[in-house]
Amino acid sequence: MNKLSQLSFVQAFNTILTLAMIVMLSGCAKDYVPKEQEVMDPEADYLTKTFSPLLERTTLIPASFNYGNTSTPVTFSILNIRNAGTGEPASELTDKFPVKIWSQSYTGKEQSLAEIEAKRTTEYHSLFEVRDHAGDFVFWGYPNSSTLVQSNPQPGYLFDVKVTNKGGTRYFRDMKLIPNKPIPYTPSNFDHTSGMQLTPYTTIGGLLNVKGAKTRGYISNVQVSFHKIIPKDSKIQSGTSLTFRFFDTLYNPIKLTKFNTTKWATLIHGFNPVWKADSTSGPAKIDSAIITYQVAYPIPLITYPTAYTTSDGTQALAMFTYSRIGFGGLKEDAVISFPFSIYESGDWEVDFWFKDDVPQFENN
Amino acid sequence: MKVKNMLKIVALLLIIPCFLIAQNKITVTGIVKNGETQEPVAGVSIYANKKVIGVTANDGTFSIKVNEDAAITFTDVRYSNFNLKLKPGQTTVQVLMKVRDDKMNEVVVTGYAKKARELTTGSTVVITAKDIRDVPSANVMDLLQGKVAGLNINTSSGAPGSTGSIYLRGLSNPSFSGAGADAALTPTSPLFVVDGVPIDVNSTYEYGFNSGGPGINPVSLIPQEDIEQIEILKDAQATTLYGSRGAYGVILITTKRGKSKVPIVNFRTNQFLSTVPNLRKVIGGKDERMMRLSEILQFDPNFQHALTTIDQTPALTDSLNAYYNNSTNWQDVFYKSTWNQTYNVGVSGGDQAFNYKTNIGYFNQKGIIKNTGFSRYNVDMNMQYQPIEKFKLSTTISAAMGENKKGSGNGIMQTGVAESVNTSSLLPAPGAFGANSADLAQLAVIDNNKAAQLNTNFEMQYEFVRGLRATNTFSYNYMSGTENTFTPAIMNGNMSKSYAYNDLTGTLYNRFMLNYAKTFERGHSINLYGFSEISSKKYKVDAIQQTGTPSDGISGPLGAATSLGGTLSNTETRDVSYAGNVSYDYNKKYVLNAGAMWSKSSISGPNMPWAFNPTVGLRWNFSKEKLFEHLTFLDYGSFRLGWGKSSIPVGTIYDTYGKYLNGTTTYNSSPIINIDWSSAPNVNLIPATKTDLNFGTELGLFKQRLQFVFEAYYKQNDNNLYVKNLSSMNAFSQVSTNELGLVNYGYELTVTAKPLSASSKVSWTVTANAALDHEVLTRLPGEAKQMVVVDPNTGLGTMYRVGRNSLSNVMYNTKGVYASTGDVPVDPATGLRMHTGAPGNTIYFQEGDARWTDVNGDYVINQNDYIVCGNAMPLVVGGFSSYTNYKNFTLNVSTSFKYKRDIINAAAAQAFQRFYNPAALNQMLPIDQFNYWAPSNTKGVVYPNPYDFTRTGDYKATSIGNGTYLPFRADQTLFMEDGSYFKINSIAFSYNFNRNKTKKYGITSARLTFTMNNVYTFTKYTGPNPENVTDMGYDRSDGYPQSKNYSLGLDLQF
Repeated sequence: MNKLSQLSFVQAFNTILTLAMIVMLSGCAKDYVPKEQEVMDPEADYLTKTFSPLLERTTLIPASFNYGNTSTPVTFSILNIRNAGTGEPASELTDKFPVKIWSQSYTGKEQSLAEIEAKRTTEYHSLFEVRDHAGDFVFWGYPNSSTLVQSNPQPGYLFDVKVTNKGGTRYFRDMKLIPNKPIPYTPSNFDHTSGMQLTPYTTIGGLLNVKGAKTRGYISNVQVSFHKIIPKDSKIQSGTSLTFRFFDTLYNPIKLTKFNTTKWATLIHGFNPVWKADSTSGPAKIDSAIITYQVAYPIPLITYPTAYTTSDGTQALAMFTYSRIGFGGLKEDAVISFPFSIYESGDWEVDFWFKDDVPQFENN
Repeated sequence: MKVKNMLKIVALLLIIPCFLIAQNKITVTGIVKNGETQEPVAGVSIYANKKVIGVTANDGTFSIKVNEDAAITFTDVRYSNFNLKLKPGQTTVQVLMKVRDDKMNEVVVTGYAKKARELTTGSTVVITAKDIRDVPSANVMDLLQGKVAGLNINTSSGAPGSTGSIYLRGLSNPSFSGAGADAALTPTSPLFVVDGVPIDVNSTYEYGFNSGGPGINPVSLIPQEDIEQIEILKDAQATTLYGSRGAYGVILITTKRGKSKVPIVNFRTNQFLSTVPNLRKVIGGKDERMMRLSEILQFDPNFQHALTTIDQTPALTDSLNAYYNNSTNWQDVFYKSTWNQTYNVGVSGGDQAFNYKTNIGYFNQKGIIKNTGFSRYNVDMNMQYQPIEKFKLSTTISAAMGENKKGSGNGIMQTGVAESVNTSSLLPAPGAFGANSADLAQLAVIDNNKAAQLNTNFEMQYEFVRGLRATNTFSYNYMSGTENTFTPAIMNGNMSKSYAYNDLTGTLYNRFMLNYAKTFERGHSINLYGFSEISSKKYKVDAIQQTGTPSDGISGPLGAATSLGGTLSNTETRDVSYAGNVSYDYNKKYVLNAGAMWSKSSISGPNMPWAFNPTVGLRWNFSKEKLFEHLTFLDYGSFRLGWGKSSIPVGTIYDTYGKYLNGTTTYNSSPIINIDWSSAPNVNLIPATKTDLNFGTELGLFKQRLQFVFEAYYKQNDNNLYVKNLSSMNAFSQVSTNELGLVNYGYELTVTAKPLSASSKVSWTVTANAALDHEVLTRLPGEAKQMVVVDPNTGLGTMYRVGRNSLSNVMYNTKGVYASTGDVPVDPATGLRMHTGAPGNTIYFQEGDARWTDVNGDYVINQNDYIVCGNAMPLVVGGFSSYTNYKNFTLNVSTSFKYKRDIINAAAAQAFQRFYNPAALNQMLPIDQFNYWAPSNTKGVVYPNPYDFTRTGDYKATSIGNGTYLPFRADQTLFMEDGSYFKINSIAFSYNFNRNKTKKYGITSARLTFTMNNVYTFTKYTGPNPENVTDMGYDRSDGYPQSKNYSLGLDLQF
């Protein structure tokens, strides 16, 4: 019995001593080594500190944040956004507005306006936001926001960005936001500062094999004007239409049938084209000079290459084509390719005016 | 026979004086045997009255003349002393010596001084010849795998003669050269000391792919048969006095010595078969052709383009070609099993006064890849002469030559074969008209690499007064490596190429040591010693390369189209150090050991003072306390605590002083001497320091049937070298600084058990060990807290973050596969699907694509979405071995394991990557075993669609770096796997023939062994082999697979 108790005593003694040493040693080892922690690099910085998005269109400004050796992900937030002139808080940028967001991806294969609209929903957002972890700034397009928000040449806004992770927090102060006035469409004839049209029209470049009826030379002077109209057709929902018209030198409408090889059904990603005769012409479709599509704005909807856009997807591409037998019996295919975009929703009409000479549509 | 006769005469002459003195004595004859194996034991010293009166002969027999009542003691280092008291009238005895397995009685060497284990305060492990003799190996270090707690041997290559990385107690230096798949960590192998002569394997590796010289590691030149004992010193208490080079641990190798008056001739041979492991399955012939066709036709969105692709690939369409539907098994062309052998003859003899040993060995292992292999020739001799007790002289000469054939690889990796094997089976087998020249290179390139080594060592010892001894050790180590490669014209774009490399390393080393030992009354004893050490090392590398030699027959020296040549390196390093050590013990109960070393190296900066490295150790053998005396089950028990510091000179002399280049630039058409702007001198470069604290417990219970060693350590590595890039406004582009630090801490446990009782006929010893190591990065250059190092060659990154393990991967986090395009998240602001891609080539994710986590929520997958994960160093390493003996039979099993190591299974990634271009004629691997996306298999899929080749990039480094969509890039969590494994390293079965049966042939001992090596690896890892992985945890498919070896060995003693 005595032996047993001594035995257990020794065992206990050994165990306790060993354990104590282990705990002591491992304990102090852990104290000696630094704990893993996230890092905020003191040299991390924004490469760009002034941002000038265009008003009334949703702009994603990719983060120009140079992380350096900062541990990712970090959390970004905009603080203290204020009027650069007065220093007053800029509530117009922090208030929430209903803006359209994409909930599913637009593919360019949608079959109806409803199908497109089903992919968009409305959410309330401040006009100027930063993405929590990416640091991208999003400048939301809200109709008529140019009446609320200061724009160039006004001094704009100052704001601070707080960047934080578990390793620390850094503030980037007095970054500038100077929005530019809205430009409703391209090709643009607007002055960015004043927001005014410099010319009443814009021009078009992509003319191929378009010869004048009078001069038989290549036509170059085609003036294009964008303007909003009030649709006469009650079936078309207000603010969702796009109309194309062509005019000769005397501003007489040109029948669209002259563009005999144009694929009107897939000219743009629009639906239910409505053909209408000009007031001076007969009612039949073959005589129509006006075509109106039901569309979703903006055009293009997103910067994504589809069958209706330029190859980089930044602009919609409408191709008006015709074919004729030219001099010597040669077939001549003429193309008027028109890359454009419209950012403001409305009932837009695009007028092409062959100012100097009308295209020669007829066979030689 | 003549020799034998002469020796008989000599023996007779030696015995005559005994006759003159001996009176009233009886003659006792008998035999000494190993108590376990019944083998006769030669060379056992027989003492009576503290005088040597005889030694057993090589057949274990002895004949002595003693007084009738004399107390006779039989001693041998391998066995416990055997005390004999003769019964009246007894004249014949049989002595069964008990093998010494009491760890307390081991003799260990620390700081060049021998001590009993119970007096050491450092952490050491001893491995004896018994544990490593059965498995033939080109490199003895491989045999230690799993045998020593805390020693992690990573055999990343199966090439004969290559050495894996050796880590003692975790990673010591996280800086590496290259990165990604080609990355190799700065070697931090322990210092090898062979018979007292240090051999450094960490330096001179820069031209030999981290293995020293032209692919031959000096460790590979140590013959396995000649090793008596290997001792591993782990903590600074044990290693501080080995100076700078011992900072990563010290491995002491002691070779055999003569100890039998009658010469012993030992012959040993191993005949072994190296077999090719399971190679990967490939798709061949018509199957391959049809698979390529269907991939192109199904997944090219442009039908015309698909037809063009097919039409432009004759291997798919040329039905009139003789090789149409050809199926070449490329692996079969290069891999084959080989039959190899080793022979070793050792002759030894002598006694304490004079002994000698000669060992001649030959080892040859042909690689399982054609045209590769390793052979070693060595002659080792040592001699010791001690005419009087005061004076001792010993010399060692060992010469070794290694010959290594690398084929077209670099000794570690077989990139040449990998390229060739990665060839479509549709192409014809090798031949000069073949499409693939790398395959011929492997077979036709003449490649010869030799490493020759000569080690000499001369030691004198004199005892001036009792207890005060002076020892001088002088050694010279010469090593030469040469490499000659000739590539015939047909293999190299019609330009024959010859390359010759030559390096010379000469190391001169001298140590003078004074030692004083005294035991006072009442049990106090002290041991003082001090030594000075100088070493000088010269290293020179020259290389010449001639391209376009006159013909395949004339490879120079004149007439080459281009000729390059010169000295790659020419350095001389000198080190001086002084050291002193005091040991004190009281009744062997309380031990104090303190020492210090002052050293200076020529490669440290001029501003660097002498490095001062102190060490202190304490030991308490508590079982000797009265309190524990009556505890019969406690054989021994002790605690020890050691602390020490050591410093390692880092960098080269050029890092400190800069470099001038002669004639690389010209001014006015004449060559000028210019500063080398690549690296800025840093005169403040200091040695790296290692500080460690070690706590150990040793326990022996139940008459040594259960023995424990437990250790806990904390190891701090400061001031490691890091090569920093300088910003481009500086004249210099890089500078080397001491700004890297890390800490290892962990625990080691070794248990030795004898489950069967001592009286059992079967003797069984089981040893198990495990070591747990935590490694934490503590300092980064420029006081940064985090750095990502991206390899420009592979585009793969490694994360260094303070507080984390240093080898962390940065990679994409894969969360399955998009079952349908509708599952891909859409950016609410832009309406775009999540995407990735190089600038100008945006790839929007769709069904069947990899679902990578968008960490920062910007709907773009790019480098900002990398996560940090994984650790290429294992958490726990260890092993388990068993030694069973029954009568004449012995079974020896050795295993090893690694637990929790992250491996990037790049081999699997590559199997998929091959599909990125179905028209490229590389090898196609079957992927049926993987659950990958297909139009018919969309739910719960693990791997993305491999066939979608038009949207994916080419997996080159630039593509990885610039964000091209690469669904099977290796740096994603999809391919990171747990590389834990349990491996049966070897099973050795041996049989000792009965001495009586062999005696008539003059054979005193004969032993037959059958061994299997690399028997089996248990692992969940899906790649080929969790061991064949680089130090960075990257399983590259062009590695050299490990062969399985079956060996038959014969060990004869005459």
